[in-house]
Amino acid sequence: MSNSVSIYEKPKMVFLDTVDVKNYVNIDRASTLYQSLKESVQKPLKMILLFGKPGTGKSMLLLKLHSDLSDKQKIYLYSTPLIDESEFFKSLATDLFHVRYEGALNFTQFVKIAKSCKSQSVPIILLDEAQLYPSELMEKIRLLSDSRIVKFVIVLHKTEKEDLIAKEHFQTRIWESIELENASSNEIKAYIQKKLMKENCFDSANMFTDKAANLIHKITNGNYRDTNKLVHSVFEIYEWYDMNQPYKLNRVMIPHKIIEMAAIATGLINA
Amino acid sequence: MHDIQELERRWIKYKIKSYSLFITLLIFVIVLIPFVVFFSPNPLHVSEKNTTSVIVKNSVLKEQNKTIQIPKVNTTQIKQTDEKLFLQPSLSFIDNMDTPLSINVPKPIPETKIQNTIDTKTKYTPQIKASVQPSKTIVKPNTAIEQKSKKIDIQTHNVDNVDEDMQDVIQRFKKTNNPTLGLFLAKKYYDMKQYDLAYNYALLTNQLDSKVDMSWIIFSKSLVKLGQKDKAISTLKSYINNSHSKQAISLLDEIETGRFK
Repeated sequence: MSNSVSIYEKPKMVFLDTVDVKNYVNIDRASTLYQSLKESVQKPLKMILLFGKPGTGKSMLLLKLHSDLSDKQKIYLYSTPLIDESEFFKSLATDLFHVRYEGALNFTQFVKIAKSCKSQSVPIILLDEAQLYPSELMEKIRLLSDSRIVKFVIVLHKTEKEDLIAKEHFQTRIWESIELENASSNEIKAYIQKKLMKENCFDSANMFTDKAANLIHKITNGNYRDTNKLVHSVFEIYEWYDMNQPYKLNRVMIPHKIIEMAAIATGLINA
Repeated sequence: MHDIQELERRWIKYKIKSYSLFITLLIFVIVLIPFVVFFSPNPLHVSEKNTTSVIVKNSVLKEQNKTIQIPKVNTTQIKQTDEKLFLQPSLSFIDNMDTPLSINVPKPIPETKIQNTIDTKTKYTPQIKASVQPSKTIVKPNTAIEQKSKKIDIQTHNVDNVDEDMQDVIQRFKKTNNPTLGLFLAKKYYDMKQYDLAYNYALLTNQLDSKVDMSWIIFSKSLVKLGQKDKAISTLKSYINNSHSKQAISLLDEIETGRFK
């Protein structure tokens, strides 16, 4: 292998699976859902539920919302779940009311703090991976949202368990739910191309034909995370051929062979 | 960085695996095609098959005919006339006896006039008339006929020395319509030289089963005994044409040469 850098190095890095608002790609359906979520947040709703299968872009959407609204209103993103109740309320007290509480902080004490520091606008808390919170804490989050001290946007994986949580804790509350679904073949193509074009990788973007997108969609089932992983692997293979056997490369379009090899390498195809 | 060569090998294995079902099906179809072509029904095969099946059917039918109708040699000739050969009463004896069968007799003649009729020969019209199956023409006697028959019975059997066994056989013949019994009675009456009754029972037996050779023989013999030699000859000739019965041929020869009177 030579020491020079392949032209496929850059497109490969585009598909590193990182949740960064800069990497947010505006797909039509995702855009519609985002607008819907943005409008819901402005409504006097106690709770908003955002749910979908893993890899459908929930975290990215939450990140985008936080990024867009953080300049305008009090909005806080809890990407990692705070399992401990005291830690959760202490974090809330610090973020919302700038109160550093010594010792354990329970629900009652937090409500007292919230009432003493009541502000005009209701702060928004974005809770990612909410299915990991204990049910007792979820019950207190529900009570907190009932008191209209804080507005919660809860993000859940769509599984039977999460549906149960939704039923038990939130069914009777005034709330809005938004479901994110897997991408279609066209959306996958648009997603890949937009991502590449954002980084000025136009030639690479053009290599993804409808057929290639269909195959990628078939392998990943429209999962954005898996798509990132697969396309990253595709460019990794391209990079190797470019460096070692460039005569074998199809630079016009991505051949099925490379996509399938990438799928085998990433475990998406069991060979 | 992936081990691309290893990845290529895995990819080839994957492709073989993914196409294995298709390849298996293809091989199966390729193997199957010669069998299908070989065993497919082409027109020649069909015609041959049909011919053979027809032949088989015919042979089966022939076999059935043979098994059912062993003595029926002249089936073709019978078919030419389209109907079976039965004896028809040329004399009026039949009307005067206590018969269990209803036979197509145009005019019932009282027993008292029988002898006259025979003697004058005016109503003697021997003929071989083709009729439909006996089962269609033979009708079970109804009560009225039986009542009538009883009246006649008294008259016809107003004969001395009538054997009780004969009466018993007559009763059984009435009930069962068994041609064997009819033939027995015909023979018996012929032996007893009661040719009119022999004639009648031979006729009845023949109506029940026209293939009973002896019914034709006794019928013809009775005719000769009743003085109707010509009619007996013509009846036998008709029968011989259809059956080639050796006994009938022999009897005909005897009648014609005058050895049987």
